Amino acid sequence: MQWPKVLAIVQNNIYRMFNDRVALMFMFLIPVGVSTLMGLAFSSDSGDVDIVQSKVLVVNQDEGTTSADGREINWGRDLFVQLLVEDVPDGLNELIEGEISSDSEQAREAVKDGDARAAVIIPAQFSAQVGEGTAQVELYYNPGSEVGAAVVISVVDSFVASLNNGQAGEQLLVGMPDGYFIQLATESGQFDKIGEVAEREIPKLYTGDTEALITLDSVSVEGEVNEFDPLQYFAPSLAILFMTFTMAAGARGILEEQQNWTLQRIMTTPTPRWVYLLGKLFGTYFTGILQMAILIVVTPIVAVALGRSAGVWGTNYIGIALITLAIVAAGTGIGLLLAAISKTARQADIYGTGVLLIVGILGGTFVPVDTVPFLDALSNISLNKWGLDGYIALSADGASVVDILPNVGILLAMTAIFFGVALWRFNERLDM
Amino acid sequence: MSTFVQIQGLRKRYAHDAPFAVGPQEAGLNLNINTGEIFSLLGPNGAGKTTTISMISTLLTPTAGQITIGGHDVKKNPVEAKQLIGVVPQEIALYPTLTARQNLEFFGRMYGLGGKPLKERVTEVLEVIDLADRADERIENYSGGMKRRVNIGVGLIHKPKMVFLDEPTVGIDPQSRRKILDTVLDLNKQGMTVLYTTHYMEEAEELSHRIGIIDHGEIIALGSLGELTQKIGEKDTLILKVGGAVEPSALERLRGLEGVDAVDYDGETETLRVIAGRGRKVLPLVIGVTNELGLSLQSVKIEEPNLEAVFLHMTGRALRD
Repeated sequence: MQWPKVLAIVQNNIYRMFNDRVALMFMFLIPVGVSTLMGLAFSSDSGDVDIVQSKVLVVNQDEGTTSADGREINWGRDLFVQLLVEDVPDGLNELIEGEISSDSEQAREAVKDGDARAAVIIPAQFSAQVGEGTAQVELYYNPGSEVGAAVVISVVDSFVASLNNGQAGEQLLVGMPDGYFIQLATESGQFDKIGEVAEREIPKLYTGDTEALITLDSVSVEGEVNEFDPLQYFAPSLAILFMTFTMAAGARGILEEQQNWTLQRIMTTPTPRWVYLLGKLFGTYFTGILQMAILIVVTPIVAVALGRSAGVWGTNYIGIALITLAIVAAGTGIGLLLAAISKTARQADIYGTGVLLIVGILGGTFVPVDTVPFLDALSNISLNKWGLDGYIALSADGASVVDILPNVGILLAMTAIFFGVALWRFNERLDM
Repeated sequence: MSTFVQIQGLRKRYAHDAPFAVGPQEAGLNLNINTGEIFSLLGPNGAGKTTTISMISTLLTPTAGQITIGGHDVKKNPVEAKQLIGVVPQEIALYPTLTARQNLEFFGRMYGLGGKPLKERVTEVLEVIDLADRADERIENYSGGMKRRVNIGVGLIHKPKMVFLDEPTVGIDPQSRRKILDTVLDLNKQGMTVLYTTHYMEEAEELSHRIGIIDHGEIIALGSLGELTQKIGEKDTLILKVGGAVEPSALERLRGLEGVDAVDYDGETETLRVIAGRGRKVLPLVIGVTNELGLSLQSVKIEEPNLEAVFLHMTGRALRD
């Protein structure tokens, strides 16, 4: 019966890890401290999002239409231009600096270049399509400017919510299929309701059977905007980064044990290799889970202490658990792979630091990289990216468990690849 | 007396194009270790002692040959073979941040022990290695000698029939060394078979029932201390401490003296060792040559036949080389 031995190795691993003060500091205090500092650096003293430079371009190509009672209607101008540029409500004007742009391509380029945070593009047939229930507005934003983009998303979201609760409705499609945009509308149940409202209400609008034009007074911009906190980005991004370092350190422990001969000593006992490797992996994995769990619990407390929202990780606990289990598995895998390709613990340190930092940077640990086309494609190989996307989807976008399953699947696939290669390498090397 | 360990045709090379570290001759290394004896493998650093002991303890896969322990082929039945042996490597193979008790408990669990029997056995082993009063201190705070004793204790935790001790006294103070040697003798008195590797001649002489002298991966002499020293007859060893370096040509001159069998020079201690059939007769000749060569003679000693002399006689080199 080998399981008691596996358990003994797991216990040994965890006990030694938690007896190491430096390791503990690295695992828990530094990630909390750094993510807090990063969060503070990207926010104002009041705790609100700093949106001083949230320039939004509005491209109104709407040619308008005539209603059944003979009125000239241009919903693009009357809704979006007015709301975002000409008559920006109090509160919103502190958040968004709206500007008219005549060319949609130029607007998109400005967003890509970082000259603007987002562009709201209203097509030529927008008003006409409102009557047909097929009206679309394109919200083009730069995910690399999470803060500003979140403001615009919040504004549009709130605007749509007001439509949903009020006199009319439109189906908004936000995003394009090339991966640079976010398909928000089609994934939101709210927009389905909007469609229902539109079907019911818009005919009334065109027959003149309506009491008032749509008003935007009810848009609660500030409340919506404050839901996005930089900590929602930096807490998971840094937690993942430090977790991968912990996993690499755990796997590197195999090399250290080989160097200090405890591994050889274990191999002289009636303990098969697989028992040892399994014990080390379980021990490392459990440590990673514990590290992430502690950070997930502690960072909201820190956020509240700083006068910020506690919703750093969101409230979809099943989703958080799934992403955490998957990202730590992938982290354990990459740690094992690094140890497997290294000859000594020192070499593993050097490889590990370099590789994990690169993978972390690619995954957007410090700044989002998906605004740069080349890096955007390359970032798909980063486990940090898939974990971070999953966490942000849960906390900022209110994603469901089903929504983050692709992330979980990709992380588990990465885990399988890392483990496969690493175990093959280790098995070759364990002839002492 | 029954054979406990049987080694036949053992060979090892670390790479396909590398020379054999053990068993350079086609016949390989052949050796039997009897039940209940202390068998010492004596040889200079790099002679192949650790490689041999690593293959017997299943850490290294032999390139060729067969090893059986207690009747179990280590390749076919490694689990059964491993259960019979306790391995004490040359390195301090312990977790430095754990206490002696925790190290013993952990490795005990690796042998399948657990619960009360494990706790009792840990207490017994702590008594054997004389560390019961400091059992709950971290290994990293121990002296070198204490670490060595815990290192040995781990090898004894599962009451093995045989223990392999690979240079267990390297780098420790004389008092700790004495304790370890006494522990080995006590274990053997209780019936444990011991395989002991060392490059200290005195340890092999004191402990061993039989000694195998190993050099370049081959057993070049095998037998009891008496049997081995008989190989060089009644020859003496002249030990001359000289001030300054001795040229190879000077060594050749000394080797050419009548009655001299072998000569070795240790540049570090500036000591000449001369094996001669009648030491006292040859001594004036040796001194004469050293004077002619301008070497300043500081002391002279004549030693009775011993393992150092046997090794020098058989290889032309001293053990420390």
